[in-house]
Amino acid sequence: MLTCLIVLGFTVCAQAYPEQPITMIVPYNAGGSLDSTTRIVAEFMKQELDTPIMINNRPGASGTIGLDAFLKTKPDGYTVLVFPTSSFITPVFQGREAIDTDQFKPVGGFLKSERILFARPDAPYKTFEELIAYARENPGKLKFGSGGSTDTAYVFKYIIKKETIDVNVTLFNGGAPAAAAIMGGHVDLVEGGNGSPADVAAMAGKLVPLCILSDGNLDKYPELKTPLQMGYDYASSVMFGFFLHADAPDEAQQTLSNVLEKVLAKKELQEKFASRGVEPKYFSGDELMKSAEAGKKVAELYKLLGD
Amino acid sequence: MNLLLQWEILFAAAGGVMVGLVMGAVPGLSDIIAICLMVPFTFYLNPVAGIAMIMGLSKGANFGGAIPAILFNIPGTPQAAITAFDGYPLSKQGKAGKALKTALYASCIADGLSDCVLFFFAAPVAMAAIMIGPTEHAAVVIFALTLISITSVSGPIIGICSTLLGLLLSCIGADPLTGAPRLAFGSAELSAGVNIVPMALGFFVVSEIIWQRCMDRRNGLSQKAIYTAQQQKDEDHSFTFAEFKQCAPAIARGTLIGSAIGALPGIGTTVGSYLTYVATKRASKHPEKFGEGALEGIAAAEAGNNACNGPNLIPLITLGIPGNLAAALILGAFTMQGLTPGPMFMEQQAPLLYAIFIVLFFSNFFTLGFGALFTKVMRKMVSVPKNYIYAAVLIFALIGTYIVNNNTFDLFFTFGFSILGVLCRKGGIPMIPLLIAYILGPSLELKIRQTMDLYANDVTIFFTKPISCTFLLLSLIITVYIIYRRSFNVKSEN
Amino acid sequence: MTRYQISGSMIAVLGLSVFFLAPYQVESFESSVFPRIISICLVLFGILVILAPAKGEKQNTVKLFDPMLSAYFILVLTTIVLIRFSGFYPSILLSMPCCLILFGQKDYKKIILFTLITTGMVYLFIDVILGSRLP
Repeated sequence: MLTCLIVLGFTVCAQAYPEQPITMIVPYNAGGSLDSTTRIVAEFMKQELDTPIMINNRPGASGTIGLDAFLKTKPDGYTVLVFPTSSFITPVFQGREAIDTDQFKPVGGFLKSERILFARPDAPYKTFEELIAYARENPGKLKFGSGGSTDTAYVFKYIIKKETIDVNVTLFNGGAPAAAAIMGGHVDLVEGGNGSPADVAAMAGKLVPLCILSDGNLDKYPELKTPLQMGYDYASSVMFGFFLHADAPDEAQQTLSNVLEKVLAKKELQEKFASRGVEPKYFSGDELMKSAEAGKKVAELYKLLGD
Repeated sequence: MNLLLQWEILFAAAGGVMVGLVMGAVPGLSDIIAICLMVPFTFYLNPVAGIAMIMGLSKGANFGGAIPAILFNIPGTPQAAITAFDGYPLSKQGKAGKALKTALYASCIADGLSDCVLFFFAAPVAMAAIMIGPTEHAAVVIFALTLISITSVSGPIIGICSTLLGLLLSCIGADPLTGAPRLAFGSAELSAGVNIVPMALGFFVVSEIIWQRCMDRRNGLSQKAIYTAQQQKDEDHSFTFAEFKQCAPAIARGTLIGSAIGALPGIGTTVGSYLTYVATKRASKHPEKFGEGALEGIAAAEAGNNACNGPNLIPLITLGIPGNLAAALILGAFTMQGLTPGPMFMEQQAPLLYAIFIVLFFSNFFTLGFGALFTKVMRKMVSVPKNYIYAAVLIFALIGTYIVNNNTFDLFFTFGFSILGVLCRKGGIPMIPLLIAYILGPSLELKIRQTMDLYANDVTIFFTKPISCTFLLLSLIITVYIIYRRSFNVKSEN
Repeated sequence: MTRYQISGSMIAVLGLSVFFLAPYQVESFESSVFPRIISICLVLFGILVILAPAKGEKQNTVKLFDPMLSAYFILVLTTIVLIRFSGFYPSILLSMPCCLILFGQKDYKKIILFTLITTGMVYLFIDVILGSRLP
């Protein structure tokens, strides 16, 4: 579905980059978490750059359709790919090869999504350690569902294997089905992103966060630890970022990166996100690629753990 | 309350209904396309206006699709295919206006009533909805599919074949659980699966055009408008109150069934329409009249599909799970505004939701008004020679396919499914079960596999969980009952 | 053979072929379970259809090959290929007259007029909604 959105303003441009309108390809549905965050950030960037930014939704096949469309565009620095770093390894979990990150030049990240493990308040375990103990005594009884992040599900599977406990694992398509499933008692544990419906429920006291399954900590849950902090070797990493073609001009990369940093520091932007409980922050291109690399490590888990 | 009085909202609702009507009425452009195209505009409206627009599109298109279905036997939207069963024969008898009016009133009344259902029952349904997990959902889908296949006009066995075919075809594309490509024969385009729009357009619309042309040739019909002969005889475009009373039970049934179906995520308006039709036929004193121009048939089909609109929002606002495309895009609209629908939504956003309910209810009056005007205009189209209409519709169908994904390769899918459609018509295979199974297939498989994952491949879980067991038993009971009835009828005929 | 018997046999054949081909077209075994179960059921029910008594079938033979039918399909296919190569507008202008002639219309003036009107309507519709056609 092509949704070309010509954001208002067509003023005369300066001589340096950018001289033309910029297109951002979002390989997910309009209205999804990636899409809605991108639109807000793009709105601010458009004002800074003084040039229109068009958002082009190309959903499908776990992001690969939009990705392919991006790779076919000219590497002139005027087409930007918006992608979560965890999606580079999605094909691995489908039995194929990871996406080669050498094809991209990172601009910068704007949101790091931490994946949190949630349980119901009436469960007989209130902390992560208690969960492991309970699972040991009750093999095969607990049920876990992912909230749309397959790599996080595999991190959890790794924890299960390492602790030699028996928990049933399945995948849900997104945060909402997962949240509904746990509230309805169909599963006992879910993982959900920061700001997802499960997180909203937790902030209202209906769910209890046990630990974090990705590689960053959260200010609002200071007591939660990441897998690395708890002694496991793997943690997922999800960062939303902008990418350019590997052959795009460095000037484009630099300009966009600077503007992104400037825009993310603005109070008005932070306020727009405050109501969702997420905090966008600027991450440099290197940090973005680090997140992608961390993801590659998680991809090993597919071979390690099987299907 | 002051949210409501903004002109923005009224314009959005009215605009949505108008565009929806037109899009629904053009076979080739469906409600899905209408919504996809208008979504970017909704991002700039306030949430109530954006939702009013999307729902207006749904309402308009759900009725709009009935117009070409009645006039030309070409459904403008997949769910209107059932309206054509009785609508087209009626219009062949020169009573197109009557049929259209029936459809219009049935649609609007059922839609309005189901909006009330949404308003009053959303909260209690929320309690119940949360009890539907993957296992129960799978059982419900099996129940719906069983019902649809067994009650098929051509016979239960071939109905089941049709359903199975639809399920099999839905397997082409992405594995619902992992997203891996499947049965794609190495083609990148197939790996995402065939979208419902190219499928329905090819399977219903293009195949219908080709089939009708072949039939016309075989029957030696002249190229003139088919209605001129009968028009002088029997023209009757009125709709009396007596006829309305006749249809009222069908409308009520449609509201109930449509609301129930709409409230369940992922089932769809086509199912609602078909089930109402079947139920009304069974309850009728003259079942043999159905398929030849029974007014209750039209009322049933249209009420069934429009009644799904309001309750489609129930899973969204109670659980945050969109049950259909309109709900999914409304979810997007909410997210854009910083609202996260989920199990907490109703508690936290009550005033917003009540505003939405009220707008929805009043939108039905827009549908009534615009619909009446529009049908008057469309009726004139009947005097255009059929062949021109066919050619135009063909082109629009191809355009419609392209619009969904901006991808011309999809046109080949439309072509492929049109061949399938003609094969089905020739081979006596009913088409609706196939369509519905195609829509429900991925959902069914996903839920079954999730259940298997969660219960360590224990198949008996479907029978040990109460809700799931109930639905599966119901499916079994209905199957046995209907087969018994049929063999009983056959015996009595002998 | 009645048409049901033909349908039934085709269904059974389809089921069998999917059952055997499926494992080669999937990335993991799990993916193939559902399609294979469905295909076995198809084989079963396809056979049932062949065996079931025909419900008052009047026609006992089916005209398998209808040349006009193929002509229509070829028309649609060529239109699609044309669209892929040259875009929508040229294709409409070319294929609509062919379509109408194939359908049996003979009034050439009306055909041209109608084609132009349709193209205009398409342009109006689509441009209003901001979508753009292929060049």
